[in-house]
Amino acid sequence: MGARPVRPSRRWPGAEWWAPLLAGLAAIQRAGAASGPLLAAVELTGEAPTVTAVWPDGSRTTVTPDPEADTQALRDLLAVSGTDTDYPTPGASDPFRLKYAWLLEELSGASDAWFAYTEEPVRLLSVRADETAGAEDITVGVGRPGRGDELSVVFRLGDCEDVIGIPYAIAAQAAGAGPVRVVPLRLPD
Amino acid sequence: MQPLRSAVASAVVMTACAIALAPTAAQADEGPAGKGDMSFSVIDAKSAIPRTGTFQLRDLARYGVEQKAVNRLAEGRTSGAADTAEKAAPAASAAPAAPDPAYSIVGEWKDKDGWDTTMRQGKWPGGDYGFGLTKVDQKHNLSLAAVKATTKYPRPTGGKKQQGGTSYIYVTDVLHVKCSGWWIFRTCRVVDVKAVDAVVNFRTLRDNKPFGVVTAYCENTPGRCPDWVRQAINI
Repeated sequence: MGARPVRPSRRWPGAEWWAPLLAGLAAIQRAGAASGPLLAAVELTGEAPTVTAVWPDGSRTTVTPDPEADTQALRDLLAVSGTDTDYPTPGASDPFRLKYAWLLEELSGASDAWFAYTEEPVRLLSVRADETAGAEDITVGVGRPGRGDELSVVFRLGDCEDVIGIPYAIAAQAAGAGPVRVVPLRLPD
Repeated sequence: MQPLRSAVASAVVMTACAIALAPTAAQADEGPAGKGDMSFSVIDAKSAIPRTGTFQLRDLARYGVEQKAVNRLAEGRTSGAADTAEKAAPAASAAPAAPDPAYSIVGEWKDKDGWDTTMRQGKWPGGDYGFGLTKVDQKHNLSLAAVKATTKYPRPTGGKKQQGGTSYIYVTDVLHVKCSGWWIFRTCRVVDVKAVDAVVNFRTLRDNKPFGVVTAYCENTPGRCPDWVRQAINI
């Protein structure tokens, strides 16, 4: 008995295969929060993951990274520069991209939320960020293989200190949701 | 012939004494403490306790349970020794008090590999958010001692795995056991098993200590662990 990653990462055996990718993307998003691209979509379905970067001029690039690639390899693929930096947990007034980077980092370190925490299985399918027209929405796609369906969990981040543990909240809310397509994530008061 | 009869007579006397000694030692526990049905929970640190069939209470020592814990069970004491003491005991820490009390350190220990591990007070704003002892205790009904034991005695194979840049997940099994009979000769069987997961982030914070325990829970149980998990005899 015992819960296991559905498809373990080679680099981090206790994590799902996408965990190193999300960690690398978090570092890139954090370093490029001010002037780099927004890593607007991370798709984790299909044979290989895809990452769509939206540049300040509105142009888009979609790449297919090796999920085990290190951060520098991801930078080379996306043609961005930058270095890893330490980071405090973003507050409510911090830029959206820093909060989004924080979310990617949190997801990368909590694979167990998807294979060990909930009573029924859930799968992380995608992470998307939308900052158009000041929306600052984050949408997490979740699959529910036990029911054969999928749904989206949508939310906005305020003070990230208030939502430490958010991967567990997303997974639990998706697992407990009824047959709906979009679920607003319940945030603490 | 004379020496043989003496030897036999001596043997009979010694045997009688041996039988007598056992009840004498158990006399302080006559009644429910020394005999009869009992149940308890135990961390199966070596993954050796049989999950099917029966075993004798005394066999627990062979399966890796500390002898003093086995002795306590034989005497009828079925709760973990450390539960209430560990629940909120603040650790002696040289670090200055954190400005946010959620980050104050309430426990420090070394995991199975000697890595410095911390438990911070944490917070639980409701739902599935939060971290640290407040969430682990109030949402998942696990004690500081239970989490510490999970990191010190994970499954021997695959019980500690990296799951992030600085995050590790530990897994241990807590068995619910029921026994009947007398003293260490009680016949026991496992009636339930819960895997306990603990996630620890070793990222260093400004106080030069690891972030520590993010969360701990019973697998596939977003809510409270059963009380018997928290009360394992060898926590």
